[in-house]
Amino acid sequence: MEIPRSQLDLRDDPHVISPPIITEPLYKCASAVNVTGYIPNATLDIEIDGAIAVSGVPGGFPAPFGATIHLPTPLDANQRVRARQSHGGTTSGFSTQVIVRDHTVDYPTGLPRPEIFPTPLYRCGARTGVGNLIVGCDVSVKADGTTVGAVSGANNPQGVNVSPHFDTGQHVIAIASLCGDPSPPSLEQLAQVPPLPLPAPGFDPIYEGGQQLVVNSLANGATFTLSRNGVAVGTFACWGGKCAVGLSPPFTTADIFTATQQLCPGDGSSPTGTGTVQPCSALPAAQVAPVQDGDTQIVLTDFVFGSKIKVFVNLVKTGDGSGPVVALTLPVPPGARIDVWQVLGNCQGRTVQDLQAKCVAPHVNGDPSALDLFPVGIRDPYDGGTTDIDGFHYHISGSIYYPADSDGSGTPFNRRVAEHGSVPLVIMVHGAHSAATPSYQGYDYFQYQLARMGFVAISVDERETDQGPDWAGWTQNIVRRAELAIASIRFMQQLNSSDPIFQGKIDFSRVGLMGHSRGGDCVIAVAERIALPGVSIRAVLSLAPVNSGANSGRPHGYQFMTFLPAADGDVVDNNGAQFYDQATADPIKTQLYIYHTNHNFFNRQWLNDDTGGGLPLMSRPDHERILSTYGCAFFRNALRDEPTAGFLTGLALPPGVQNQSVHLAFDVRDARIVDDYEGHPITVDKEGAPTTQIAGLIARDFPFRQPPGAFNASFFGNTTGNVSTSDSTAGDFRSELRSPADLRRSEVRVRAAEVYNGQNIPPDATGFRLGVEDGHAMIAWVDVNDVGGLPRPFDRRAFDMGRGDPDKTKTMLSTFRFPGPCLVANEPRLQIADIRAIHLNLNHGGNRPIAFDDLEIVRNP
Amino acid sequence: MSIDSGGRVKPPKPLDLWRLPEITDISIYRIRFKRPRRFTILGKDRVISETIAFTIFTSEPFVIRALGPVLFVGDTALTVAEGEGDRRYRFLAPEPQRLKTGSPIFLAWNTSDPPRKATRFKYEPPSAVLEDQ
Repeated sequence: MEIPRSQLDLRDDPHVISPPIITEPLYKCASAVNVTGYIPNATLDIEIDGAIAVSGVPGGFPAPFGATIHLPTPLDANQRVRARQSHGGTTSGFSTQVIVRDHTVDYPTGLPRPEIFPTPLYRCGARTGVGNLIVGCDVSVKADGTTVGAVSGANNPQGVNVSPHFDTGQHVIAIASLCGDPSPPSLEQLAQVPPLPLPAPGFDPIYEGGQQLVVNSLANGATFTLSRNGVAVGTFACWGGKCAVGLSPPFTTADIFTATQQLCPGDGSSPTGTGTVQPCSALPAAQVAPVQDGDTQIVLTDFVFGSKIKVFVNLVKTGDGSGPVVALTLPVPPGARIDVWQVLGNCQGRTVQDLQAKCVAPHVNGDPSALDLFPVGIRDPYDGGTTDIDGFHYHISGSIYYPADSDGSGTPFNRRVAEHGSVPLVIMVHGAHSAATPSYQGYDYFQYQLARMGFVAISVDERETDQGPDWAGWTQNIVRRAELAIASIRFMQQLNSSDPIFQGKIDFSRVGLMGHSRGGDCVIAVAERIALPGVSIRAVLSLAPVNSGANSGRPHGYQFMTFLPAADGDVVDNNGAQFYDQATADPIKTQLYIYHTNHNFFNRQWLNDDTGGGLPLMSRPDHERILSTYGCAFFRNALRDEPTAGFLTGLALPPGVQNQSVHLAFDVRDARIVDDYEGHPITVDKEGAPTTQIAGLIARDFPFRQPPGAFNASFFGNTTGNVSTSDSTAGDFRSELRSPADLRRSEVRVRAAEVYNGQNIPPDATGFRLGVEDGHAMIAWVDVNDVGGLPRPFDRRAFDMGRGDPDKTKTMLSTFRFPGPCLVANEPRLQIADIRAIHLNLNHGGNRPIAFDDLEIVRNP
Repeated sequence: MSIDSGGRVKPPKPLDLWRLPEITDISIYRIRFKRPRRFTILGKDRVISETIAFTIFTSEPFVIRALGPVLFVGDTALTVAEGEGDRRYRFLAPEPQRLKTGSPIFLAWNTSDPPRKATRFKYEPPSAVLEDQ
């Protein structure tokens, strides 16, 4: 919340400034390091192995990408590097120490593949951006094989000026190298004729006191000429989009900035864009990402370039740096008040961003879909012959995406990947749709992402099962789909034994499946039916599945994930919830209940909105982004044991995703199950210890599935759980533990949901708090709002009833984490190593029912 | 001055996933399969050689979608069908003993508690036996 600064007594201690931040990781042979988060125009020191290697470097402006500081000698493995800043006579503490790594350990098959951006490239473009680099590497840009630009000791991303400028039809690539190890070439770009005339450049808001402005609407590679009050201040090349320029003296409200842009001189300049300066009083507060107890830095989601960001924790200055990330001098204490103040030169923001640290507020972390290592080869279609199933005749076909030496159709398998060993296989199976639609091509974006990070990803063409006579078979149709998918896996084994591209390249002991719709049901059946020697299914992603009975309904023996689109206009029951409830966490199971997503938009070839416009949806790219990020996190973790499990267990959020619409339930193999409400009366828990209903709370076990027997018709899973109600705010459900628990390094987890009442969604939210009780009957509480809050039900009543169906608004449970340290922070007298009982207190009262399941104790990951 | 006032682009007609055809006729008969049929229940296959079948004749094809059609005979849901053409589908009763004489026949989509589309047909135990090819 943005509040007037005058309401607070903030003492701006000039001696408190943040340590800067070194961009990680650092690698051997890097000739530069990058530093961010410092105060504009601070000087920077770099220390290597305890000695100052670079001293007093003017940092300039830290936005947008920090200061790239060149080193006297390249880094060596295991060196310890840190940085500090000095500003206004004060020197900060050192940053966190970064240990230099060897890139051949992290990237044994070669450096990541550079990415040219933004695209397309235009004739006469004078600069381009290159991303996906290792900081400190060398990068060069080649046009038709000739180097036209290069940077040694690059940042990530890095702008590269090109000379001569690009010409129409040139084939442009970028290549990086480190320690003499070259990366694969970037995806080739073809320079094009730009759309003319170019638009007038624009300006992001400019504020009095600032010294850095951002020109926008720039064509890719254009040069722009900037003037201040009619006097030219310079001509700059820009990779496109936006470009930040530092100027002196500070801006006043009397200043008027103008800019024009051009590509080829003969094309003429664009019209002139004009920017004016807003008064200091208009300077807004920075926008701040949620803060979690114990955080050591504050992340800004919006701020003014060139500003200083001062952070106050419980009204005490704890940070002074710049966006987008400000390091703190002390970790954030539990529940602390955070105030973030933006200062632009002499303009001191009149408002501050005021928020409270939460016990659980997962951070937006690295993008699990962004790992871009290799060119991608494609075989589309593959021809695996034919097969007959139940009297139907099918072609074994589909598409294969794989890591290659170069992009394109039929290119050789990547040599360095092959030398490193065989790679996992992911098989995708589409669902039922018009047989005229090439449904199997609808996941090409996901196949491409997996292939460029080193998986072989195939999508099976099952259109022949979409023909009416076959499709009508329901369960049997889905069984046939499964057997057709298995036929494709068998064909992949043949390729692995003798194909010139794939021979010996595929590791069938690491196979993952992704199925959508009927395909989501089918892939669970595949895992249960497949009997091919050497094939081991290790992961199954079931996207918006039906549940036809084609499989046992109990996913087991592999890591499992399901997506439930809350606005599914076809599989309106979200049957994947039944699979999640019955799945074994082996070792993890995850359910994503995703608001504002429909059935079709995960498949690029399925063009119609299955809700017919009846429910509010996020965009199609937002649908795809969810499959890309969570899907890549899932397969990377399950098939390659990479550290992406945090995305699957509520510890981290992927960037660029509508995370506010994604509600996770998850479970892990090694959890201590206090109660799952299965197979015993409500008066005891799973451990056989007694439960108690206190202060008028009423708890009963109910099937969490469709009636009969359910609490109401809003449950669509397949398990049993506890529905509790309480008129009083003291209503409490106590579960005794059979043996004491030590929560110093563990957390309590519970699945919970606001029960939809079958009629309407009350305007006010409800909730509960969870308590842990020690051996001295001391209870420490944490409210669910401090760990994410109960989502409100996704309202689809009008949509469903409007087409004559029952209301399918659902009670869908999410998993909440209550870390031990948060609990003890709220009650320091608690003996956290001696927990004897867990409480669920319906502290909102009002007889609003809440559904609970899977009360567990889990060791911190 | 050449300013276009814009021409509204008509959105494509939405596909009505929930449309069900009319059943224009039903033929109920006992059927013996020369090629035994596979029935899968909770992932387990079993094979049947003889059952009761309902061939329905519809006013139009079903929309191809995730869910399948269900023929309700009273409260008994028949979900396994064999298409015999665009407008002719044969629903099979894996447990014919559950069919009750005189039960009304409905058509629906395979969801929980689906709205059922009434037909003018009722179930009468068949006397005819068809030898399937």
